[in-house]
Amino acid sequence: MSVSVLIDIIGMVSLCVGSLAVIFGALGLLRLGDVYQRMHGTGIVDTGGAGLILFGLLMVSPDWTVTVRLILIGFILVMTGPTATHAIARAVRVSGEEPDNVKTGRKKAAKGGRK
Amino acid sequence: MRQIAISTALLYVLWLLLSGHYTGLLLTLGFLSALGASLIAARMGVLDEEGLPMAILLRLPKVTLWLIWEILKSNWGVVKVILNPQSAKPQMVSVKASQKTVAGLVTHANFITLTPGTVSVDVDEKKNTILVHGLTDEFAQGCLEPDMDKKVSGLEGK
Repeated sequence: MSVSVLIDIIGMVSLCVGSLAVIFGALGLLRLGDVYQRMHGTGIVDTGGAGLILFGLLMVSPDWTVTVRLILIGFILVMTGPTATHAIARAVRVSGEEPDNVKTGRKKAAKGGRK
Repeated sequence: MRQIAISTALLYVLWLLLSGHYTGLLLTLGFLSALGASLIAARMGVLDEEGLPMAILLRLPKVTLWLIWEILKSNWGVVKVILNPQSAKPQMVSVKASQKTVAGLVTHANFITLTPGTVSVDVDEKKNTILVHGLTDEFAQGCLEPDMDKKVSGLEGK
């Protein structure tokens, strides 16, 4: 087996596992309890899912200009993803929503939140 | 001045990688736009230690492999919880951060959010603590271990 075939196989496997990770992330978004827990589900999509798919595309990329763009996409995703997640988490907390099953010492906001 | 030079160099390298046109006129125009963008950024006052944390950016490759491994491990952990949602026992913990710069603290909080299973909900600059929501006890306790804190402090190089 030549090296290029092996690299192709690694890429394909990585793409498949990445797609599975995205499916699991979506499943988590639907199945987990409150908004904080659901954020962990989406965490899979933008780390494992996007990461493995980008790695798989890197393995099968035809020339270096595509490779450079894929690496840039990965870098930008890694920089912006957590920032966006943190912005959502902080907004949820500031608006008074408390996570389920956690004692934080703050009063639970009235149902429906502030108007 | 140094910041403008670094920023121009970075932007010009980015332009060279993305453009694919290498004739004299276009190379000059690309350099001028990189310089112009850097000057505008400098005038806006965003080209400081926070906007362009070179110390952290240059040392980032050192922790990349470790971070990827951590992310893959916790991805698997979260998938297991998703398949059995009853096993989720969320926890809020306050993580002490030893970083000395704001950029370092942000990097630490971002690393925590980047590993699935833990999300940094609130960052306290004055007390140097990060409030973390963990999906299970295990994830939350993993954050309290000084492992990640040490790695990020190492990135600061101070």
